Amino acid sequence: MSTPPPAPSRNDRKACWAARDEFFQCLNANSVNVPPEFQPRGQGACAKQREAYEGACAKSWVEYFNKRRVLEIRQQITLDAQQADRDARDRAYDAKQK
Amino acid sequence: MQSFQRQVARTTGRSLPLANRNAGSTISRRCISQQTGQGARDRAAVGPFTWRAGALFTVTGVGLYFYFESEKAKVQERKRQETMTKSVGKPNIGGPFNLITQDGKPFSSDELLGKWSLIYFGFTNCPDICPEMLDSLSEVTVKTDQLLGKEFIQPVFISCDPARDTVAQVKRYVSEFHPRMIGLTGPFEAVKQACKAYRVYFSTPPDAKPTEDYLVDHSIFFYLMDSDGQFVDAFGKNSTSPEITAKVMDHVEKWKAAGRSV
Repeated sequence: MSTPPPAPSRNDRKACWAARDEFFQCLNANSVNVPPEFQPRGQGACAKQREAYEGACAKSWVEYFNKRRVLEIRQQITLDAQQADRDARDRAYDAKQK
Repeated sequence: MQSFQRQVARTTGRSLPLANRNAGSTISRRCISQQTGQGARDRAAVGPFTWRAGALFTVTGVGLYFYFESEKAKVQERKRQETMTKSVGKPNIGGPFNLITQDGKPFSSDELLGKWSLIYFGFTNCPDICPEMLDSLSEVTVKTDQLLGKEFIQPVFISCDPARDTVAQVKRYVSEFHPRMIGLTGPFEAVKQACKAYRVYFSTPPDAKPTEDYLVDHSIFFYLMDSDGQFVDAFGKNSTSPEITAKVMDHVEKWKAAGRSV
């Protein structure tokens, strides 16, 4: 039976999370919402951060974090749309009152 | 109910000829003296405020009031009984298991008796939730030790990724959390048995290769068990460690109030 590679240590985890945060911040700053797996490597504004991120985190972790980011963005869009809808209704109501 | 129907029949029987008389009075305008006599009687009888209608209204109202009151009491009694049975039932969490500690020694669930424990199921390759929860579990352990002035909680990590989490792997992993933490793993069937006892779902395939890079989908709760091995409470990832500490201390107070010592 082959021995599994050692699981990430506390420091490994810290390094991975830091690289992930830097990469995601770069994507946010450049308004990139496309999941990274749909973009060719070495291209785009955050290519350097992506390389560091994928180097610091296991592949399964990268997939997990990327998926979660997409879910969070989707959730935010839905929440924003609901808020905009409520605001519009409030404004219409206020206009009617005047 | 029968008397109610009779009363209604009587009232309607009275009002019908009245209406006829009314119609008659408007038609025969010629006879003035008759019209005024009729009008006075009409004023006395017509309208909702006859003593019969008033009595009927009151009787029906009082009747309905008591009927609804009694129905409400029945519903409340039913609800009370439901909640009573609910508080009696405790979740059947916990049970026997036989695993291996991070030092390679066999460990059975019996060895947790006599101590309170916080048990968390996870895996060493877990990206973020497991280590965060194990940190919080360690903090709760430290804090309750301080508050009670003794070693109180036994923190336990049980792997639900037996294919990759060897004894050596678990030893390395738990060494980065609380020094008293026991890390348990074992053969797939033994781990499955432990997870089943604690109602923990996990999705490691039985044929997962130890060298593969995969994530394990699993329930993320930790369980507070008392020194009798009975389930006390479960905490999810949204509870902060001060909140959990406060709840643990609450349970300890109740335990003491029941005449038990810690």
